[in-house]
Amino acid sequence: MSRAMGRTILLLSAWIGVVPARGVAQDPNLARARQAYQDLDYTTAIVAARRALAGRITREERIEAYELLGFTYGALDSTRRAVEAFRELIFLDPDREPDVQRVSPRITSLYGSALGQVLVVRKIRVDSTSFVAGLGRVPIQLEMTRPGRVLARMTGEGLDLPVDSLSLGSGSVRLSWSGLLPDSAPVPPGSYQLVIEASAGRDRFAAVHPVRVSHSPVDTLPHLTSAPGYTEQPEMVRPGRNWRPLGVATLYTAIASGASLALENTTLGSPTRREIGGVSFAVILTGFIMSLKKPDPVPVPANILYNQLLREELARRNAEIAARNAARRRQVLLTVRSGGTR
Amino acid sequence: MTPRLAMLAMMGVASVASPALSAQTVRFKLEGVGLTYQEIADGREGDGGGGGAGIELRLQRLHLDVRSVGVRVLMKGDQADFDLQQVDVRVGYFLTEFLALEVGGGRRYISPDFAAPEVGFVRIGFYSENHIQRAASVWVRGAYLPDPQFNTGGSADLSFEFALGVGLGTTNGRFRVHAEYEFQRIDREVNLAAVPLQLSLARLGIGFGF
Repeated sequence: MSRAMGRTILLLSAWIGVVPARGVAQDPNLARARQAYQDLDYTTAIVAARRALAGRITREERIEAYELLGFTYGALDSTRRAVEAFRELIFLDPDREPDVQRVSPRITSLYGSALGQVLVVRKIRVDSTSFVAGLGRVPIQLEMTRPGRVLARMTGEGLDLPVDSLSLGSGSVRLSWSGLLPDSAPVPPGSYQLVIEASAGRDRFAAVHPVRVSHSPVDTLPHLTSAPGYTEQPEMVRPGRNWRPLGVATLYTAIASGASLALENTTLGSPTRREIGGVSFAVILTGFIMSLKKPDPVPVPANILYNQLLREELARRNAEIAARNAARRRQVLLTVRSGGTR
Repeated sequence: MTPRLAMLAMMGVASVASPALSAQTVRFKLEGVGLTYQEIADGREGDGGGGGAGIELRLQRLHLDVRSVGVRVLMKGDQADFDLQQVDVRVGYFLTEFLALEVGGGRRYISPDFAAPEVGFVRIGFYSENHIQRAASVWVRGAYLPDPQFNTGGSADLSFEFALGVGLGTTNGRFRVHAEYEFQRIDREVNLAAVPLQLSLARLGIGFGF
């Protein structure tokens, strides 16, 4: 790439404000380097950035200084030095990378070249999740810039717990954590650090990601009061009005009065029969009135049996729910969130 | 045993037995009674009215019914009037929901003495009750009276009785009115001479159960 083209690229970068967008520099050398870069005075920019790095500056300022150096060397077609500057930048802030929408492809290519030369762990992501301790795991995702061994540990107050490991991870790596201590008890609630250690030959890298663990009781199941889709049937049903009471009363009257009249002793003459007449009238009248009255509800054996089976099934299910709830009350719902605070 | 003593004994039994039978039916009855009495031959008859009391126990399949009536019988013509008192005891066992076998006994007292024959008898029969509604029931009963005994002597080869009744009350059984008809025929013979007895009796009463 020619110098003119590099200037054009950097002009464009400056125009859209890529470099100055990265924080506000407090160090005067760094401020001078940024201004010189914007003025396309690359020599001054490099000298001022180097001076800033030689002095006592913050981590953020150091990151910006290496980024300025990388961009400036890239503009000057100094590939090796640009890659070196980007390597330092990557070590300091692995997740920081040029915006491909705003930065020239040459710069991003140099950044990519530097990325391939170092061993770092980037883009660590701990998915926030809730699960019953012992019945789930926390997914952990990360990216490794080079193939290597990965070891994840969880550290915190009095805790240094191996989480997961991978003998040869590369690119996008997935790990998981059970959230349990070695004795299978859930990890106490609190703030922890997820330490990801990567190694490949003599190269080693460690990254830390904050994790927050909280406890809550496991939801219990409500008891059933009815079986879905099944309703109890009426056990007593009032039959339709009928003349059975009158029929029975008439039959009984006929039996008793017929027998009495037929078996009267005729040698004693004819009695008045007012007793049997009165009572027979009362019996038949009662039967007639009871026939006009709505019949009493009668039990329905099939419905009684159905309801009994339904209640037994409900009782059985509720017993199962009670047993499950008893087990759930002994369990802990672990909630793991990325970040050190709630 | 006089009728009054029988009633007292009956109440005593009920008062002792009732706590144990609290889950069953115990019902006390008070009744008005009308009666037609016939004996010996056509024309020798009388009628009268009086009162009665009774107790009815129901324990599962067992049924106990004790009744007592007292009636002043006014005979027709110049025949002497008399007081008739009768105690009836029946114990039934339900073979089915509607039908029970029944045994028991009865004793009829006449005052003044010999105005009419006093009778003692046992009975073997049946009892059928049908609940035509929860608050109402009808019943019939019939019994053979083997070898009734008379204070004036004699014997009876054929003796039987029939009854028809109806009860109507509250569904919880605490209160009930009832009407009942009883017919009793005793073909008494003395020295091969027929001196039959026949009784028709109607009761109208109320019962208190618990």
